[in-house]
Parts: sequence; C-alpha cells; structure tokens
Amino acid sequence: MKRNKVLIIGGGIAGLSAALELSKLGLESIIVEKEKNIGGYASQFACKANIKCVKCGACIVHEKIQSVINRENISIYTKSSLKDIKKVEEKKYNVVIEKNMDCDSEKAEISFSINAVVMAAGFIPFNPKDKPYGYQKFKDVITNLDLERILKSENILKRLSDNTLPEKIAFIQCVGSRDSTLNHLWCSKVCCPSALRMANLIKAHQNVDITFFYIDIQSFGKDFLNLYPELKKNMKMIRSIPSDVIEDENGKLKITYFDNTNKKSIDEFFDIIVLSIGITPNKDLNNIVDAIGLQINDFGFLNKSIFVTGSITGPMNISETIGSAGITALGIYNYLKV
Amino acid sequence: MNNNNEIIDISNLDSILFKSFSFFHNFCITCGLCSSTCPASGIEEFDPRKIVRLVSLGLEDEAVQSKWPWVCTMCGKCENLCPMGVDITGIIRKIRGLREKNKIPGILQNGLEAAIKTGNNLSLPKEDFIYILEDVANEIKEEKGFEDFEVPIDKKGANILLTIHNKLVNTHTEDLKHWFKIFYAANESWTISSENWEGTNWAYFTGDDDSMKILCGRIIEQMKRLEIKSLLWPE
Repeated sequence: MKRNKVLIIGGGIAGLSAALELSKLGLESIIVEKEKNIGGYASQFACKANIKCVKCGACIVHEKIQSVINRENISIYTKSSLKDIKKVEEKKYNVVIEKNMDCDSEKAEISFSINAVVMAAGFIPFNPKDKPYGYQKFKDVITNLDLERILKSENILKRLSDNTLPEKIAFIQCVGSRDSTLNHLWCSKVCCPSALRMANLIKAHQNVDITFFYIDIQSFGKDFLNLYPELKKNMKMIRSIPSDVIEDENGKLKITYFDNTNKKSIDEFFDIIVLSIGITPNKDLNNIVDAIGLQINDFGFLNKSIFVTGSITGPMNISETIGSAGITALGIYNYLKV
Repeated sequence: MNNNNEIIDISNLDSILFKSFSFFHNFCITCGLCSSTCPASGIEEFDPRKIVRLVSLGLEDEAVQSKWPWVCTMCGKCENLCPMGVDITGIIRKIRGLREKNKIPGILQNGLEAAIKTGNNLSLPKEDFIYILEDVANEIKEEKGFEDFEVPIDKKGANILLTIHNKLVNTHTEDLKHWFKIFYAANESWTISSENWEGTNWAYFTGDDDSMKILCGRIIEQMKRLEIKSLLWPE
C-alpha cells in the first residue's frame, strides 16, 4: 500500500482536495497541472463576505493550496501535461509527463509508473463572444469570472473602459447554459448563488443600482435559500433574459428587455454588464479518457466513476467539489487496497 | 387571461391537452429572451413567452380565443434567439388556424376568400389588371431611356415569373415602376401572369394551410402554363 502512487490530472480544487484526502489515507499523489499555479478557477474567486461570511467557499481554496504545498507525499508538476499513458497491468500504468510546456528550451519529459489515475481536469468557462451581448466588443461587458478576479483584488468596481464609477450594473444569467442550440442543456449551478453574492458585495461598498436578469434562481447549496431573501432585497429582479446589448456614443450599454411586471418592453442603459457564463465540459482529454477506460456522456462531461472527480463530471460548486474529491479518494483507497 | 380569484385546476395544465399540436413546445424554459427581443411585446399586453406558456399548459381554448396571436407580426426574431429552439411562429400560426373563420380579425379572411374565389385579394378583373399594368408601362415609356419599354404579360418561356402584391395595382402603382425599370436595365427576360398573379398569401397569416396550398399551387400552375423555371415572389 505504501508504495502506491496516484496520478491526479488537474490541480484545481478537485485535484488538490483529492490529493489531500489520499495523503491522509497514506497514499502518494502526483498532481499534473497545465497552468503555472495550482488552485484552478476557484482560486481566482473573491471572498464575498459582506458583514458576515456568506459561505461562498473562496477562502477554502487557499487553505487547500497551503495544505497541499506542506504535505510530503504530494508532488506537483505545474506547466505540465500528461503526454502519454499506457496500462501495463491491473493497477499499473506507465506515464510520460511533459514539464515546462510554455518554454521550449526548458521543456522536458519524465516517465514513471503509477497505480491509479484521478481525472480532475475541471471545466471550461463558456466563451460568450458569439452571444449578442457584445463581449470582447464592449469593454464594460464582462463575465462573472472577470468580476471574480476584479473583486478579489479591488474593493471598488470601476468601469474598465474609462475607470469611472458605475451608477447602474446589470447581471445577465444563464449565458451559455440551458441552451439547446449549443447542446448545453444543463444548468451551471454556481452562477446564481455567486452572481447574487457578488452583486451584494458590490452594493456594500459603493452606491450603485443593480438589476438582475434571470430565468429562475437556482438555489443549490444548503445555505443559499436562507441567504436569498436578503440578497435580492437590494436589487431589481427581472424575470426575463435580455436579447441584446448595444453601446451608445457615450459608452453606455443599452439593454432591451421585457418587464414582466409592467408588461412593457423597456430600453435601459447600464454602465457595466456582467454575463454569468456557463460551465462547459473539458473535452481536451479524450486520449487519456480512452486509455483509462472512462466514459463521456452526451454533453461531453465524464460519467461518474471512482477515477473521476469534480466539475469534469458536470457543474458543481466548491463545497460539492471537495465532497466529490473525498468520495473519489476513498474509492481509490479501496480500489488499491484490494 | 384568468382573473386572480378564478380557481385553476392544475391537474388540467398539461401540454398534452393542447391536442392540435405536434411539436416540442414543452421545451420552453421561460427565459424570456423571446419577449425581450419581440418588437410587439407590450402591445395589448402581448409577449411571446405567454403564448408559449399557454400552449405548454395545454390551455388551447384560451390561446385560440386570445388576441395575442394576432398581435404578433411573425417576424421570427423570437425563435431566432430562443435557446431551446421553440418554433414560436409555428405555434402562432397553428393557434391562428384554430380560430373560427368568422372570428379572424380585420380584413384577412375577406381578402383570403376573395383570392380563393377570384385569384386576387381585390377581386380585380383580368381586364382591369392588364389595363393598370399597361398604364404603368406607358408612364415608364415617357421617361428618358425607357422609350421602347413594354410590360411582358403571359410571355411563354420567359426566365422569371413575377408575382404582384395587390397593393401595387391598387394604391401603390408607383412602386411597380422600380421593379420594371430594373428588369429593363438588366435586360432580363421576365413576365407577369394575367391570371392568379396575386403575390400575397394571407392564408399564411391566418394559419389556413389548405388555402395556402391552393394559392401556392396556382402560381406553380402559371409557371407550368408559361413554361417558366424561376419564380420571383417578392411578398
């Protein structure tokens, strides 16, 4: 048991949590992460505490990163990818890792054997550039992920175009989720709770009107339902998704939407528009998926198995991901023990 | 539709109850993109999402008797944006088609019946139609560069058959000139049928598939009669 090694593909919150749990169970893990830092998207998320903690989970990611770094039986390869994997026998694979992918002169390959693989390669954020909201055309149309990064380092949100303070901000939910034309029939689950928490955080720090365009609020997570009445209190909640965004000559962003309450079509101008983009499957890994006998579902996510963990199986929030990694670690432990 | 104190038996709210409908309207996730993009949203309290909901809930009578399907212009912006690919204009047409003919609003049904009976919405006799076309042709002839212009009526083997919107031989004869002059300048071989020339098909708007087929069929007949392969149907 002691010499058993587990290769973890992906150093996001899923991979890190799996490595920590495996480590506690006495198993050695090797994390392969393609980016230069571990922590994944979740490490870019802002703490959304207002007066008190709103249990967004962002801080847990940093605790996990610290713990992983301090563990002796976890090794980490960043800027690296799994180049080749071959099954030698049951519970034995030969793998080739390419290190320093980003630098031709330092690129190197290392080979070793492992006993199990955990797929924790996470998700790909939906790119909304082809949706009619002017993303990458108008500077003040940003994604929820952009907003996370901004709020992580800034207390006050300003317009990216001219650095002025916004008076009106709109959130548009479900961009790239629940969309059959994209074959994205799933709800991305994390966007309603995180967007509402971010909107609330912005309101706590600056004087701004926020309008929240949504289909229906998806209240995943056991604390969210208690929090929701408080969160929506300070915002205008509009139960329809706008059809487009147009920038006028003064750099204001015009949204046309149907106001269900007043039964009227409304043109309204905003200073910043935040698109809540969906979680889409990471399809970059099909060769590995085949090599370790995993299955991809109709939408491109991986079917659940003991070798798969986190949002590569479908949208999930931080706490759900950590839970999923715990189950995976135990599964791997039992698998190798037999 | 229902006022607030009316009790609705929710066991009756089921898309299957909308029996006249075959496609996947129950797919709507009520996102409201259709209503946001609709140029008619807000008129008579209409918005496309409400129509799709009526159908999804199986409220066939309410949908058919409602004004809303007739507020829609069937421009199709809504279904172009619909993330679930709901055929919203298809729904609207289907609901319109379920109305009793004598309750179809405005002049749509009268015009359609005239077209079925006489070949055009105006019941314009053939001689009058030809007279108007030739009158317009004579006016064109007076313009410099168009001295030998003729309007080709029933020209066998022409390249293009042009249908005529009835308003162009009624109140908007000036608009005919643009078409005619472009054909002339392009040296195009074209013609107009003296019979069944009507370019509008109001059965499309009333959701009357049988009448729509009759009117379309008549145009095809003219193409066959005149041995023409290309149709220019501007309406």
